[in-house]
Amino acid sequence: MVKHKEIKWLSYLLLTSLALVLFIGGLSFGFLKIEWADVVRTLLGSGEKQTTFTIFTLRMPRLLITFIMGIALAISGSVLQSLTRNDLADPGILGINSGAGLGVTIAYLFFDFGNSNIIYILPLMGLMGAGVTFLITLVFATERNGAINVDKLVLIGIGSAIALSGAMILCISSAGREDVQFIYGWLSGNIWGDKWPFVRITAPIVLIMILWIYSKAQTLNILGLDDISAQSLGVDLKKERKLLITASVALASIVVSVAGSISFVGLIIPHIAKKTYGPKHQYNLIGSMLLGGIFLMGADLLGRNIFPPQGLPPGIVVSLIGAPYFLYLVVHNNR
Amino acid sequence: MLLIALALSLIAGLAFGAANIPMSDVKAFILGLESNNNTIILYEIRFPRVIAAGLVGMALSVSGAYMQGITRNPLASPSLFGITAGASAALSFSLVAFKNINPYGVLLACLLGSLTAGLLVFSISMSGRHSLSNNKTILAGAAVSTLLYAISDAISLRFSLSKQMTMWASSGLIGSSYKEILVVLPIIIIGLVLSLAYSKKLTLLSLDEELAVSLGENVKTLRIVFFFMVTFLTGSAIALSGSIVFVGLVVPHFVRKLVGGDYQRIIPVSILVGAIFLILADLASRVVNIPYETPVTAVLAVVSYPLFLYVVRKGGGSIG
Repeated sequence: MVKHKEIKWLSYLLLTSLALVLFIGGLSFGFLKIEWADVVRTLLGSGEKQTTFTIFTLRMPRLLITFIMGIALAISGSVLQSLTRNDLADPGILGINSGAGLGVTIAYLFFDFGNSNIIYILPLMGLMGAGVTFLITLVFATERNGAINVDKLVLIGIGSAIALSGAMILCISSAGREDVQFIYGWLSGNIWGDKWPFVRITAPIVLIMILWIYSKAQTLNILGLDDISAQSLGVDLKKERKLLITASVALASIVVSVAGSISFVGLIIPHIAKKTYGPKHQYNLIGSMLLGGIFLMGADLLGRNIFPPQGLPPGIVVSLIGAPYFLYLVVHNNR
Repeated sequence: MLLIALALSLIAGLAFGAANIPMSDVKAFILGLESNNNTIILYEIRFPRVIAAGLVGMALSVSGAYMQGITRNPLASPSLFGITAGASAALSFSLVAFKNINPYGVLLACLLGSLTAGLLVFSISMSGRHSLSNNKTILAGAAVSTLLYAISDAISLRFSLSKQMTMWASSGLIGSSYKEILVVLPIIIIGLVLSLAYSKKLTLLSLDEELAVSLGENVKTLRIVFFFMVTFLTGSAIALSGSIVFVGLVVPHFVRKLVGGDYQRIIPVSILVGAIFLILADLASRVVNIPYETPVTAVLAVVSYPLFLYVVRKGGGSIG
């Protein structure tokens, strides 16, 4: 754990510059390699037509959306972990992703994707699907005495993910053949919403919600303690918990519905951030944010460049890294 | 009564589908009376498929019942333990290594895959202070599953096998042929016979381990036998059908409600109910969206979800 404040801020600075380097690198690498000098020239507005197109229309929105998505998933996971006091909580594992996916699928059946309003409809539908799914999960994981059984929460989430992806396939295959490919892509965590409109809609929402969550950092610290001490510190447990859970579900479902189902970012990153920056959310939330963005952007870059031209979906890259970590946590979880 | 239900579902499975076949022709086919276009459809397409569905349903239900018996965990089942995913990953490996793989190769790959994944999950869950009945096993299974599915997805995307894999993974019952059935049939039959023979010992083990020991049972050996039985049954079922989820979880629970906690009754009834369940699910997958097929796994997942929720809610305590 990093103890000194100055070192913490220095590490944030380092991470930020790492994110920038990755971003520029991401503009440069790909199926078509663009020299760094050309990247800089194009960014300054004097590039050739082809590189300008590649950088501004193809690569930049994708890098931005993966960065935003990584941030949102990491923060969502961080809040969920603190609220449930369970290291295994993650929007993917708790079934939030698949709930959002079902919402997207239903939207896909009833709305025309060529429609320009679709960028507003999708996050909304995703949010609704995720909300309903998470409510069901919560209801079934709550014991008679009102306490949430975290093991059950995770188990139901896993089951929901299997069942809802089945439901998605069922919905889609009753609609039309060619759409099945879309759902399979979504399920394997392929970023499909890598266009500017999606960046424009998600960036402000994610920013506002993260600022709000960050303003609640102190509350999160207290909620991470046991209920009795939290209550004695004068926190309205139920209300704060509900608000924060809603925010974290919303955060995850919105990015997942415009991009694709990606698990484990919200599991690994907060864990590492809490190990590095300690239990205070004022610090570890910033760490989660930066690490999450870097992780997903990096995973997508890696996936696209290992197996060109179509590459590996970032969801699979993240799972290949995240699942062993999940396994490790399961084995070493000393509760 | 269950036998009658099985017969009825068999007939329904034969009669309905993209083309509905009149009952008179189904009758003619079963009795071997006459041969026309319809009976050829029945013989070539419907019959092997229904048989395959039945076999897979039997094998998975028995596997699930045994896993729940050994672990005393109500959520134990092949798909939640990562065994299904193991078979899937092994198959994608073998598809890359050997381009034209025959049914024996598929079977071998699936068996090896399910054995490996099963061993992995069991050894993880046995490590540490927790017992098998702990939910940790399920979580470990889920983690192993995710990892193996990610590996198999990665392989199939890298080597452009996704079409083959998707076909196999989501709707393998479609192409069931007599040849494939004959390859796995011996293993499934041996597994089912063994499962019936051992059902008394399973009851003992599920009730009280110490009692079993004091009655002179070698619990360790029994566990090993059961482990191999379960992985072989699951592996061969998956080789035949692709990854099918929830059957091994749902059917034994349903059966336990019907006949109580004695595995001498649970196992035979599970065999029948499992067959009926999967034949009907496969039928549903054919008629939901005529003339297209819906992956049977999707149907199963949706149908089983409420029951899964119920089991988790009630779970935690041990089961008989």
